Amino acid sequence: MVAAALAGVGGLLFGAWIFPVKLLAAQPVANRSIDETLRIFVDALLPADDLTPAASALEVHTQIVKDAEQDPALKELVSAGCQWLEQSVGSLAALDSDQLERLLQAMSEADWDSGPKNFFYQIRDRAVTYYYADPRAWVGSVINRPPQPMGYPEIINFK
Amino acid sequence: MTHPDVIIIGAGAGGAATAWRLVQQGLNVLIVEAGPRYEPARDYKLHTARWELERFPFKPAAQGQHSFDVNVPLAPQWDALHSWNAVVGRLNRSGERIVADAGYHHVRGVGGSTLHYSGESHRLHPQSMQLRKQFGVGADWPLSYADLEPYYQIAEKLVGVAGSADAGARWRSEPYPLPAHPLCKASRCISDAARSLGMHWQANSRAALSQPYDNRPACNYCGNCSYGCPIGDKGSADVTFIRHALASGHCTIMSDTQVTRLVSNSAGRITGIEITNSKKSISVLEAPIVVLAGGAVETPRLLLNSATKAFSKGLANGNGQVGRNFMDSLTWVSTGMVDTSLDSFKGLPADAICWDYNAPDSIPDVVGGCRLTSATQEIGLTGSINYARRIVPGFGAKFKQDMRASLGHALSVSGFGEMLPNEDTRIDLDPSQRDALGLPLARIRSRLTEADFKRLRFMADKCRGILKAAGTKTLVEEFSTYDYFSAAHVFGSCRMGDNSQDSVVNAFGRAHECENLYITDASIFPSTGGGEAPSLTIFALALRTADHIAGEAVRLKQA
Ligand SMILES: Cc1cc2nc3c(=O)[nH]c(=O)nc-3n(C[C@H](O)[C@H](O)[C@H](O)COP(=O)(O)OP(=O)(O)OC[C@H]3O[C@@H](n4cnc5c(N)ncnc54)[C@H](O)[C@@H]3O)c2cc1C
Ligand code: SF4
Repeated sequence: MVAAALAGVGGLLFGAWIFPVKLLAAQPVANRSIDETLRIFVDALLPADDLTPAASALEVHTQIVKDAEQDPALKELVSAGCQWLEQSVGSLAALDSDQLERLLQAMSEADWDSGPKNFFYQIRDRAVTYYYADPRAWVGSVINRPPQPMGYPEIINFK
Repeated sequence: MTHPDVIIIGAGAGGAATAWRLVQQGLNVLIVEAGPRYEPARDYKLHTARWELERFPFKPAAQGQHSFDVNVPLAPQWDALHSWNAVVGRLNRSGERIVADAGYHHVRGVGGSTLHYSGESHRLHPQSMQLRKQFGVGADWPLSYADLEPYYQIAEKLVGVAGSADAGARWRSEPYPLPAHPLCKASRCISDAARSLGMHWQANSRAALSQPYDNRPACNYCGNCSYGCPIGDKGSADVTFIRHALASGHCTIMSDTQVTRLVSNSAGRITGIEITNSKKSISVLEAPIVVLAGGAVETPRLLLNSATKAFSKGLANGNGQVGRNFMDSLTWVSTGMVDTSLDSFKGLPADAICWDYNAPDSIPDVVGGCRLTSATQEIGLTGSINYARRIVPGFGAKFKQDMRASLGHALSVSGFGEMLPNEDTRIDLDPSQRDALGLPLARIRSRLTEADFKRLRFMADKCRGILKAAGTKTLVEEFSTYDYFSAAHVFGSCRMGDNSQDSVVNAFGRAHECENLYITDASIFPSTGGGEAPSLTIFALALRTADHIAGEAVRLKQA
C-alpha cells in the first residue's frame, strides 16, 4: 500500500498534500509515535556515512521534541506533520531509503504555503543546527574544532 | 559613590568614552547601565562545541524591547533587490518589508552594542559632514572633521586601532597606533578581483589588535568578532574605555539598573534621575550634570518618557525634534561559491574595504555614498551550521558530502550605504505597548526612499560584479534591507546642530533646552556618512563633549 502511494509521490504531493497544517484536526498523536517518526525523518535528512553518524545517534530528534515542549507553534507543527505523515504514507519505518528520499524530495519541492513544505523546512533547519553543533558531525570537515582558543593565525601567512 | 560630579546613563560606546575622559580630568563619574556585565573569557562561547548555536550569548535583560512600524508594501520595480538564499529561496514572501530577527541589533550591557560589534573603526568622510551646504540634502554637522581629528587620534590610541597608512580623504595627523592586519585569503581574492575591475581595496581599519597592546593579546583571526571576543583583543568599550575608567578609582558602574525618567524643574534643569534596579526598587540619584548615552533608540524614548507639565512633549523636545531624523542601516550582501577553497571561515572579519564610492557624490543620480567590504566571516559563514541552514541546499547523503565540499568556499562582499533622514522615519512612543515597568516602548518607524533603492542597486551591482570577477559561478545568498528592516547602525534621533529650531543638542552635545543635560551617543549624528561604521565617531564626539563638560564642571564648582 505504502509502496503504491509512493510510486506516484509527485502526483500525490501536488494533489492532496497541499494544505495548511493548521487545517489538520488536532488529534493528539502518541508521543512515542512522534519520537519514532521524527527519528526516521531526521535520519533521512542526515543519514550515517563512513565518517559521521546519523542524526538520531546525536539525539537530534529528541532535541527537537524538547524544543517543541517549550514552543506551542512548533509543537503543533510537529504533531500535525507526524500525523499527516502517518495518514499519508503510513509508518515511515516501513519505507525503504529510496522511498524516504522521494518523500522528502517531494515535500521539499511543495508550495511554501503547504504543511508538508513547512514541516520539511522547519525540521530540516532544526536538524542541521543540532547536528552540526555536535563535534561528532565535524569529522572529515575542514571546520573540525571551535574557533577558539587556537584561532586561525596561519591564515595571514599563506603563500 | 554618594556625590558624583556626573551621572552617565548607558555604558555603551558613547557612555564609556565619556566616562573615561571625565575621570582622566579628575571628575567622579557614576554610570547607570540597564544591562548586565560581561566577562569575555567566561561568557563568550567561541571555545565551546556549541559556539555557533550560542552565537552572541545574550544574558537576561541584555536586549531591550521595541515595537516596529516598518511594514509597508514592497516597491515592485525594485524587486530584484529582494533577499534570498539557496536553501529557502526568497526569504520574505509577505509582499511587505518586515523585521529581521531582533530588527534593531544591539546589546544592553556594560560595553553596550560594542560587545557584539565587529570592530570596524572608521573616521567619517569629511564631505559627509556637510551634505546640506554642498549638496542641498540632509543636515550639516555643527563641527568639522578638523575639530574631531584630535579626538579620533585619542580614541584610536585607547582602543588600539590597526589600520593602513593609506588614509585617502580622511587625513590624519598621526599614523594608526598599530599596523594594519594582513588580509586573509578570501579578502585577497576579493581585492585582486576588484582591482581587475579598476577598484582600489585596502586593509580595513579595525578595533582588533594586530600586536599585543595595552595588556591585551593580538587577534588570532578566529573570524567571529560579533559573537563576543573571548580573548579580549577586540576593542569593545568594556575592555578599553571602561577598564581604564574603573582603574582610575573615579568611576563606579551600577549595572542591571534602568533609568526610567529624568526628573526636571520648570527651567528644564535635570534635578535627578529615577532608576529601577533588577529587583524593581525605585530611587532617585542626583548630580550637577547628566549625560545621556542610551543609543539612538533608547535616548529619545527616555526624553519622551520624561515629559512634565512644563515640558509636555518630553524633555528637550520643545521643537518636536526628539525622535525625528532617525537613520538606520542600508545594507547589501552577496555571497557566491568559488571552486577552490579559500578557507574563508578563517580570518579577521571585514579585514578589507573599498572607499572608492564613499564620497557623497560618487553614486550616479543620488547624493550619499557607500563602501564595500569583504564580508564572509562577518555574515557568519564561519561554521557548518550557517552553511547548512543558508547556502548548502538539500538533504541526505549527498547533502552531507556537499557540506564537506563547500566549507571554506563561500565568498561574500557587502555594501553599506548612506541613509538620509526622511519625514516618515523616526522614533516615537508606542501608543499601546509598554515594558515590564509600564513604560511606553520606543517605536521604530522606518521607510526607504527612491534614493535608498538606487544606492542599494548600486551596491548590489558592485558586489555581484566583484564576485563574478573573483570566479564565483553561482550566487548562493543575497541579503538586503530592501525587504528587511535590519539595523546595527542607528543614528540621528536627537541630532546636533547650531539651530535650536531643527536640532536637539548643540555642537558639544548639550541639550538646547536643558543646560545640564548632554547626549553622547549615536543619536546626535546629523548624517550617517557613506556607510562608515559609527563607533569611532561616537567615541570621538563623546571625548570632545567630555572635555567641554570638564570645563563646565569646574565652572559649576566655582559658582
Ligand atoms: C552585530 C553588530 C555589529 C556591529 N559592528 C560595528 C562595527 O564593526 N563598527 C562600528 O563602529 N559599529 C558597529 N556596530 C554598531 C555599534 O556597536 C553601535 O553603533 C554603537 O555601539 C552605538 O553606541 P551608542 O553609545 O549609541 O549605544 P550602545 O552602544 O547601544 O549603548 C547604549 C547603552 O545604553 C544603555 N541604556 C539605554 N537606555 C538606558 C536606560 N534607560 N537606563 C540605563 N541604561 C540604558 C543600554 O543598555 C546600552 O548598554 C555594530 C553593532 C552590532 C549590533
Ligand atoms: S577575529 Fe580576532 S578580534 Fe575577532 S573575535 Fe577572533 S580573536 Fe577576537
